[in-house]
Amino acid sequence: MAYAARGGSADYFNSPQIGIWFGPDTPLSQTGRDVNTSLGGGIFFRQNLPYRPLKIGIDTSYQYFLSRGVNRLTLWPVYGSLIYRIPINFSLAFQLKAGAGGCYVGIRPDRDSQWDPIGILGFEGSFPAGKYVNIGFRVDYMFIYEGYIKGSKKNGHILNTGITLYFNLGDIW
Amino acid sequence: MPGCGKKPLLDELSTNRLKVIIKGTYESNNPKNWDAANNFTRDDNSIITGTTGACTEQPPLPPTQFMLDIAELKLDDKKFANYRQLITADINDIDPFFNGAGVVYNQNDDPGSGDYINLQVYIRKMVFNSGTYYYLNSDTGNEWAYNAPSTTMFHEESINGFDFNQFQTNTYFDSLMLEADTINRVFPLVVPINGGFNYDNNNDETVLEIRLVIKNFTKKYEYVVPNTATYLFHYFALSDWLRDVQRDETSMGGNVLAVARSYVPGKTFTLTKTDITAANTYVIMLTDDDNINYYTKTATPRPTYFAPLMPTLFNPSNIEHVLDYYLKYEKYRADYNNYVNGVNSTAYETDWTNYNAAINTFMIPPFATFSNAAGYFKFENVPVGKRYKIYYSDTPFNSGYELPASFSPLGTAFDAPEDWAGQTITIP
Repeated sequence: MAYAARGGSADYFNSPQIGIWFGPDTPLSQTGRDVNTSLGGGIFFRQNLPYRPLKIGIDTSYQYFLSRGVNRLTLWPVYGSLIYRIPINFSLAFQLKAGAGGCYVGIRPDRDSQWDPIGILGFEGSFPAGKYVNIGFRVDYMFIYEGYIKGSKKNGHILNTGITLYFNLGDIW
Repeated sequence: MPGCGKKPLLDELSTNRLKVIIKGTYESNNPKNWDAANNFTRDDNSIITGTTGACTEQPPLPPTQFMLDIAELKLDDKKFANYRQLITADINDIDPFFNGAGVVYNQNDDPGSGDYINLQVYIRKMVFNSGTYYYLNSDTGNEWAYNAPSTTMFHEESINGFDFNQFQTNTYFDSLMLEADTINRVFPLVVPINGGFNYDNNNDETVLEIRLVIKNFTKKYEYVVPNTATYLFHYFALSDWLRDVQRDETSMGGNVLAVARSYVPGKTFTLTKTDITAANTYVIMLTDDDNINYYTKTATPRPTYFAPLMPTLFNPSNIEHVLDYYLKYEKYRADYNNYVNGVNSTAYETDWTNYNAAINTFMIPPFATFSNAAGYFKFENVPVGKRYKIYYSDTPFNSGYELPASFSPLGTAFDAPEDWAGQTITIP
């Protein structure tokens, strides 16, 4: 009799995944005084590493913030990250994420834009909703670093939250 | 080199480089004091109620405060300050709104760099805190009795006063046109920026100065509540020196005179001069390429076509009133037929169009001040790098409700080189 490997939350985590997320992005502290919360979304790709609980991922998203006045902030973060799955045996899989990359920052009405370095810390949870699809949520804190620029007194702090949809690719190819 | 050529964008987002200052004076600095004898005492010729009775015995007291409610500001239809601003200014020579210093607009964002021609001020209310409400004694039918001080809402509170901004939406000429309903001259009020406004966000600070002519430019008016003819208000508003307001008219538009100008602090100088020929009078300054004709009022009288007033029946249960009404109505019909003949003649349209065209070109000069008895005056915050010429008002006019209508040159045009920045220069 052949063993069937125990199905459960572990399996899908161990396959490459591609996913999308969508939800409110909240500017915090100093950034929160300048612009308002808005909706944003992004896509990402995850790949396994030989060390099981770790994955590497690459994420990108689009966030556009309005403000009470005429200021507008556009963010296109692109970053790589390491995802670590917390080893709890539970129907939900919890993951911690840490990453770094760059973000295209655009402001209006000044019509100025540039790439700034960013750092990410995140937390995700997901559960299977079928063989190929997982649904989850994510909470990421994004830190936009401008402190190294002469004359800068502010950095950016954004909290990205949302629901995620993962597609497990391992079984497809 | 890391960071080379980069700007701190998140700081930029919250940094304000544009400062907007609003002043309620014709003068850009050192305005003439409030002329107590001639402000708020002048009855406009639009007041038709009798010489006896409460209207003259219990007139409204001169107001002590001026209130302004601005919804937002725009530059050439582009938003940059969509924040509400409420200004309450005391009517004295110390309040910053009336002493030449100005009130800083409480909050605004920066517009994009570029050129702008007009500033749009969305005025919701303009209130003087005094006005009186009278009612017609229906027994006699022609004697007005005192009812109460008029009240209005300002800043969501009930206060004594009268919001005359509601009458400033149209000029009388506008009301004659088919498009009258779509014309609104105060929301927004289009203020030309003298010399254009080139905003460059590389400058540390830019100041946009807006001046509304309110000080020494007031009169008392009358408003009969329509369809009743039994209630009327006496209230204070801006003078109708430019566009005359006649009896029973509520179209007072076109009399909110305003000008805007911009300067970059640090690239300006202060100009002083003493010339005894220009003593105790208004002195103005223009850039050399400007034309003085824009700032002089041409003596164009208002066309005299009067639409006759429809008579009203004061007291239907009084037989004398009823008979009076029928007589007046017959006269009204005859007058109206004459009026229609006048309107149908081509002269009507031509006269009104010419009048409006002549009045429309009038502007307030960018720099204005009031000289003292020795002929000493100064202009502050004058941008360097331009050529200027000075004029003074030489023809007498009535202070308190009139502005200088014509000017004579004072001295010759002069250049203001860049190295004058930050200094006080006295020219001979």
